[in-house]
Amino acid sequence: MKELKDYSGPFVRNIRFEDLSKEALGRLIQACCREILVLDAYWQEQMCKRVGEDAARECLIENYTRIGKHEMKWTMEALNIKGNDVEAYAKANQFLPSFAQGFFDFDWDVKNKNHAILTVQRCPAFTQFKEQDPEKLEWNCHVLEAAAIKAYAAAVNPDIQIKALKVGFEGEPEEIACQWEFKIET
Amino acid sequence: MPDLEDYSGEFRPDAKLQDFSKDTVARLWRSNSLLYMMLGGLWFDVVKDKVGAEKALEWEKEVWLKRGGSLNDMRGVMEVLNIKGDDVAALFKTFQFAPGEAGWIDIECELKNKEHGILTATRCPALEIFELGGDTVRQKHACEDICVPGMQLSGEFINPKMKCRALKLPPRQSKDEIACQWEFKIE
Repeated sequence: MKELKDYSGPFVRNIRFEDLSKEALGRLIQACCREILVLDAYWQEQMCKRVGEDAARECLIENYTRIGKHEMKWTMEALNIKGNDVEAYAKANQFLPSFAQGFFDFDWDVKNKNHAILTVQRCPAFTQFKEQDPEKLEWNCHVLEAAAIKAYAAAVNPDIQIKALKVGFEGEPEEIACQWEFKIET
Repeated sequence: MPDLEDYSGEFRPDAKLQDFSKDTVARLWRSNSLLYMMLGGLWFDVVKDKVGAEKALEWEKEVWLKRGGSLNDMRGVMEVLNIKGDDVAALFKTFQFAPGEAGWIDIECELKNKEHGILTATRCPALEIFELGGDTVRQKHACEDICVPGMQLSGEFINPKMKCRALKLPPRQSKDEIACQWEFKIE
């Protein structure tokens, strides 16, 4: 079967993922990542509406600290990423659906297997909240992200130490969203 | 650069999806789809712990049916794969690549004609989890309170005249049975 650039043609009963072009598969992954973020937002909105912002935030933290180990494990399995050092964490992090390339712009500077710096240049929450809702941004960056990153890193190695190098809005032009250092003391 | 079969090698600062083989991208899509469905389940658990099962069940239904969770699963796929049309063929094409359908459930789509088709879920991990835990309340809720209206909503999203009928729903007598079966028809 000829590789399909999309699925605008007729229905194919036994179509397989592999029948699509790599570009189409990439777009499907992006769509799936967006659906994950949207579904999460629906639940957050639902909780805000029903029990208020504080309870919704508690649930959000709980959810991301619970899901981190699964998201890391499945991503590492899919890509056959082994190891429990900072490099392994960085490699998996590059392909996490909840931190998908295209929605987030980020760079990893892996200094060695046990030390790396993550710089997030663009983050949808940072862009949206920095002027609209600074309090929510502060909570998002300082509380939620700090807890989530800790849980995700612990899924690879509980000894990974995380230090926030830049978090929150400082009002500088061309400001990056955040920067984190990951280190295993040897 | 040849396609990578996995990411077991050294860290690459500019690693992109396009660097990997199709098989690898397919595995990643399936694990992402699994995460997509698990996220909903985890939200349910967290909310249940906070406010109790009754409200969690009610709010889960609202997320999937009223807030747009069911349709969220279709819109993105239709957009990125350029799936057009208002018939059952368009619906089945979408289901074949939707994270909440083929992404984690084994499905077979039998298109009798463009306006009539049968969707069979031969294996559903959610059902297996409910069966394993003996959780009949959650199984009934997921299959009857969410999937039944959710499938109808999905059909209507493609064509308001499309009707969905459940031909078979859980519970099942044995693990050899299919999970569920649905008929879609434009009347």
